[in-house]
Amino acid sequence: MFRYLTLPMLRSVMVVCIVIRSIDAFRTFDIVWTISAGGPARSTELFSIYAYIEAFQSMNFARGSAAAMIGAAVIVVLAMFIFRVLNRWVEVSK
Amino acid sequence: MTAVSSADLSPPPVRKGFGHAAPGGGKMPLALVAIAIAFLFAFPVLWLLLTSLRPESGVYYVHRGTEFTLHNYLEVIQQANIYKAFWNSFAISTLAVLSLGVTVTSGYMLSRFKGPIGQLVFADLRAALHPLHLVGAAAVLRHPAVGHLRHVWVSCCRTWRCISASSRGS
Repeated sequence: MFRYLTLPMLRSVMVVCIVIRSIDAFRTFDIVWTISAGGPARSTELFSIYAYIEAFQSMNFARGSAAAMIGAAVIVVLAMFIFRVLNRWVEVSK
Repeated sequence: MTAVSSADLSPPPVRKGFGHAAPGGGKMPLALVAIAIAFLFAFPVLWLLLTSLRPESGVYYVHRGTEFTLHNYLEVIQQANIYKAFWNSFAISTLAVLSLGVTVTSGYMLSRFKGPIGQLVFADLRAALHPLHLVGAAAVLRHPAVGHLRHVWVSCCRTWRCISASSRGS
C-alpha cells in the first residue's frame, strides 16, 4: 500500500521538500563555522563562509558581496534545474 | 428611440476611499503596501548587488557615485578556493536531500503507528536533536586544533572555575 499508493501521492510534496531543502542546505553556514570555521587549510570552506571571510575578515566588502551574488545565482540555477528534472518525474504544478 | 430601463437611470454607486479616484483605484493602497513590503525584503539584496558592482574606492559610499565595475566578480572567479567552496556546499546540499528519505519515511511511520512504536520513533527523533552538538564538542575536545568550539569550552571552564572559587571564598 505504501509503495503503490501512499508514496505516489506524496510525490508532489516530496519534490517541493527536496527543492526547498536543497536551497536551504546549499547556504549552510552556522554548523560548519562553529565546528571547523572552514579549516583546516580552508578544506571545509563553504561558499557562504568564503563570502563571510572575504567581507568581514579580509574587510573586502566588494569581493564578499560579489561572492554572495555568484552564490545566489548558482542557487537559483540549481533550484530551477532540480525543479525541472523532478517536474518531469511528477507534475507539481499545471 | 430605444427604451431606457430604470436601472440605467439610477445614480452610480458611491465608491469610498480610493475607489472614486479611477476605475480599479480601490486596489491602490493594497498595491502600495505590497510594493513597500517587497522593497523591504529586496533592499538588502539590492544593496549587496550594488556593493558588488562598486570599485574598491567607493565600497563604503555605495549610495554615492556612478562608477561601476565587474572587477570584483572577475577576482572571485579567478580564485581556486571558490570552486572548492561551491563543491563543498553542493556536497552538503546533496547529503541533506538524501537525509530527506529518512525524514519522509519517519513522518509516514509517525502518522501510521500509534502507541509504543510511534512513541519510540518520536523519542528517537527527539534524541537526534542532541548528538550534533555532542559530536562537535567531542571532536573539539579530542582535537583542540580543529575548531572554534574550544573557545566555548574554555569560557565554560573559566566560568566554572570562577563559580567554584567564589563558592570556596564564601
